Amino acid sequence: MAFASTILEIRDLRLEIAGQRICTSLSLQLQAGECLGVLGQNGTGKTTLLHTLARLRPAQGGEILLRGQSLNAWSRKALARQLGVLFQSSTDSMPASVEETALMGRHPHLPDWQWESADDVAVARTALKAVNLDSLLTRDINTLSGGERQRLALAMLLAQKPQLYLLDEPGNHLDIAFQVKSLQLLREQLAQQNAALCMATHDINLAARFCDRILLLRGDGEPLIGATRDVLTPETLSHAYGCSIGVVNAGSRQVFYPE
Amino acid sequence: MLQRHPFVLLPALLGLTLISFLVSFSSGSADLGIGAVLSQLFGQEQGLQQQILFELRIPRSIAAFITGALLALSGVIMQVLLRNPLADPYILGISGGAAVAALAAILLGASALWISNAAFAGALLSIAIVFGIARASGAWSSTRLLLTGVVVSAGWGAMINILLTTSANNSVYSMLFWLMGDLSQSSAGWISTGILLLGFMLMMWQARAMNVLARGDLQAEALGVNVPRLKLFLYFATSVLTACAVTIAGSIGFVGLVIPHMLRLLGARDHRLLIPSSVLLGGSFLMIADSVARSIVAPLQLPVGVVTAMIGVPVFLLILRHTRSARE
Repeated sequence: MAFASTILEIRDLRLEIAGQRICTSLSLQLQAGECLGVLGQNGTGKTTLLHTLARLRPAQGGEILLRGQSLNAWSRKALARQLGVLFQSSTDSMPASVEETALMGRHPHLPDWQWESADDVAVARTALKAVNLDSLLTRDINTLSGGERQRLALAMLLAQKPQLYLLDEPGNHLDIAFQVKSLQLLREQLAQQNAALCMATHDINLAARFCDRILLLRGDGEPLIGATRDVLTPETLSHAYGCSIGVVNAGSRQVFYPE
Repeated sequence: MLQRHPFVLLPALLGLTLISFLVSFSSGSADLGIGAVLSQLFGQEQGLQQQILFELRIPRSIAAFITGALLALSGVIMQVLLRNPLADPYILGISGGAAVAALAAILLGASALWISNAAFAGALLSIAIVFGIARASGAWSSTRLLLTGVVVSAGWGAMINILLTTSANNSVYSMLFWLMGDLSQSSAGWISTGILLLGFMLMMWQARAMNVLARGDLQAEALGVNVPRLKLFLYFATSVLTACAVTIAGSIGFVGLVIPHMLRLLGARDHRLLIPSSVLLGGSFLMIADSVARSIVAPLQLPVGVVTAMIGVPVFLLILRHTRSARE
């Protein structure tokens, strides 16, 4: 068995937004190949936590290590080769084609003055093919539907080939088939590239199916963390979401629903 | 697609630039055909024609090219910086500051050189004011920068109106020419040529990062672009380029707004292609407009800013209409 290497390590992280505590002393490690789900009610800080891990905003305390090196020690560009983000929404007003946009995922891998090589184009096309956008290469992105945009953002992330995938609502705008397909795709990437994944989502069932561990934010600064089966129970979920949540067993899977 | 475009668009624009230079050399109140221009350029003839060509026409054509190129390049940068397709080089009040200073210089009866110097100083002052206010809160958001610029611009606008309404008639006439953009007093020296070249090289260096920045601040940051640093760099680049253009020829409208859009509609969305194309098309467009401005009602001259709009509006609308129907 391959040596399990630590991709991300969080030590005593303290995070607040507008006076509200997200976590007071969070510690966890994310190993290669592992998939962590971040769940919680609206406004409990899922996105804030993700952005902090991507160094898009500062933490109030504690330390974050990426592959053993403090997050702040990485240069922006080197960090972007290690860590990629799928954002909740994208703002497009400037025109660009689908292929040009997917190729932007290669930006951190290219030195100044260098154009994308044939290899980079191949990487971008493979990514577009994986999300079924390879027939729309020359389309302007402003003409895409919500689901197509989300798939394009995913293709850009795949072309970036990071070691740590941070996904904010990966299921947004996607139909149920694509939600499953895109996460299967990402799990394959994790296995191939020895990468890790952390996703914030509202979809408990998606998290139950694809995540090894769950971080459940409860709005009190004391998140619950543990194996998916242990954290995702009707009791903890009902408490965390403030509404009664039930579960049915479907074969080997559990399906959660609001009662 | 991405790889093939440069080999069609850039040579075509280079050709257009050469033709524009010849057209520009040959037009004006003294009649010089293109044949005469060529024989003057490459022949040994002496005389009045040669004097007109080398002392009047060529410096003015070069000034027109450089001004147009500066404005188009500045427009490209401003549209990315503000992530707003309606942005033009003047939107942050640079031309307003320059105009107030230049008009004040005209009012005091200063010479053309001092009017230019005053314009440059006014532009710098406006850059500093907008930068200082937009930066005051620490955050550097596009919206905040845009709002600050637009408000400062409005302030300059009011001061321009005060100067116009309180000045004597003969100076109001030269003030209006300055405001509409005029190349008849212009010459572009080595400094503006140098600034254009330097700006062009620096922008080509950052062109791929600009592509990424156009997708949004957070996305750009996540793809390894140091966004605050790049924005600061773009702000000062676009400011200096605009200040330089305004110093040469007053505030010529339309070029900086529309040239980048025309090229985007023609398929040059990648900044590595858009930047050189804008320089070439902006420059040749302004040369052509200036040729029209000095020959259409010769021996009188129109302000070139009027002509840029007269030519640019129908051309732009045509391209817009054509590309819409082609895409849908």
